Amino acid sequence: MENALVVKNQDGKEVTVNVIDIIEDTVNNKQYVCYNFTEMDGVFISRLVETEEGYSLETVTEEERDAVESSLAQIVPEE
Amino acid sequence: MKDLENFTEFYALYNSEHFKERLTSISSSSKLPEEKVSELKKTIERRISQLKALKDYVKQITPLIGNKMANDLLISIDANIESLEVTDKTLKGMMDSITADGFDLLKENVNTLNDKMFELDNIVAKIDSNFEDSLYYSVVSGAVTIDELESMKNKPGLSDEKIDMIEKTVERLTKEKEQTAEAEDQAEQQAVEDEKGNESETTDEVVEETIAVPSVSDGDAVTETVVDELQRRLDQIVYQPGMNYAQTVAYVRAEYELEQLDKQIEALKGKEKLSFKESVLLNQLVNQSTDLMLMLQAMNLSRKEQRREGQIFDVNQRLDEQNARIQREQEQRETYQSRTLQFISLAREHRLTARMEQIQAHMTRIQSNQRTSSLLAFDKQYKRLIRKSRRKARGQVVTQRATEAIEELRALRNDVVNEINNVRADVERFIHRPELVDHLREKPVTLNAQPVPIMLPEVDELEATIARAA
Repeated sequence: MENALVVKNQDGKEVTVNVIDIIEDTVNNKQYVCYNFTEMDGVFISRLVETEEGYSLETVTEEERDAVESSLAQIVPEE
Repeated sequence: MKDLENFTEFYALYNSEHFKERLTSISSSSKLPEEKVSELKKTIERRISQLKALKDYVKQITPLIGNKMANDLLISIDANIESLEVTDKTLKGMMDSITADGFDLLKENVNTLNDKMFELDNIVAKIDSNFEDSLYYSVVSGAVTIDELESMKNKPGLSDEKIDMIEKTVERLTKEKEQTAEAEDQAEQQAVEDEKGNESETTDEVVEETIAVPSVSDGDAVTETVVDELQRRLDQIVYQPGMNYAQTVAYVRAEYELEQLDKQIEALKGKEKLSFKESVLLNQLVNQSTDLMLMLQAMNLSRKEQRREGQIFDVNQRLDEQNARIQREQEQRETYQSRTLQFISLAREHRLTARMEQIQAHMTRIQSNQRTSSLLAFDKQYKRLIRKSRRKARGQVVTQRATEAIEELRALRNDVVNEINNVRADVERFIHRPELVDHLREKPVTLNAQPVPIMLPEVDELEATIARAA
């Protein structure tokens, strides 16, 4: 895992995720992290928020998710 | 009937012209010689003896001519005898001195005698002509019973016509007797009912009232009884359909008056000696009695005539009905004929109407064909125009479609341009920086929420693509 990142979940356990992309919305001035888990299939997305202690990954809204999906689809070539 | 013929012959001899002539010649002479008066007296005595013989004869044939008729005859004969006796007495006086007054009286008596003889002659002739009625009234009056009358037809010397008359009379009387018996039964029932309502009226009083005989010496009570008796008889008249009620009442009244006159005559006859006034009264009573009797016979004849008229009326009525029926039949026949003619004319009209309808249908077909041919010509004439129009329309359609396609293409181009612009804007909006992961490792990262999956290609392809984009 080239872009492995260790994160703590709400139970305090540390989980390692593979960061695929960090997307910056220049219009709304927000950042999103696109990642996947080693033990789980699929790609997930969370909003990246900078706190005093560090960073936190928050739940995205439906609109935010759609916007990120379209952004990723535009750069992904269709077969 | 032979007896009756003998009686008529006998009476004709009695009423001979010779006797009349002799009396007339005697009465017409201005002075009566003694021998003529004595001859007249002998003639009168002989006539009286003949009248008495006639009286006996009438008594013998009473069953045949009826009690009532016989009584009438006897009364007439007695009156004649008495007149002759009066004349005889007058002649006795005339033997001593003949005066003009005595002659007039004699003449009057002779004339009266002649009149009576003439009346007697008529009565006898009517007895002969009304034999059937005489038989009927002989039974009705009670002189002869029905059985006796029936046995009379077996007597020798009777003609077939008379036997038929007796049989008819017996049949008529038997029928009437049966009807009377029924009426009496009904009357008895009615009487029983009346007796319940009025028990004070006794039978004795009724009988006394019925058999009361008026006499000269009786006063108002007698008159009242007479009126009651007459009223009783009038009340007994039962109205039947077709009867002449007024005539029946008149007949009963006349019959009753006749009985009363008979009673008065009997009362006068009962006296030993009659005064001149009484003898004249007796003559008058006899005349009245005879008149009434004739009137009753005339009424009987009138009844017969009425019956005959009724029959004629019935026949006329039937004739009228038959004529009316014939007229109705003729009208029906005429109606039938008119209906037949109407039916024929209707049938002809129907045929003509059918023919006209056929012609109209044919004309319609011809017109339709003409219209079709006209339409065909029209169609042919304007087919080219239609074709041209179609071509023109088709060209217009093609042009319109081309224009629409161009418009669509333009819209598509605009959409593409817009999409491109959008893509471009999105591409410029989102910046991919996967390398910032090194920066994140410097500080602790907390996963506060549930990760949201996104629908994207496989991770390897995505990473490669992102790498290219970055």
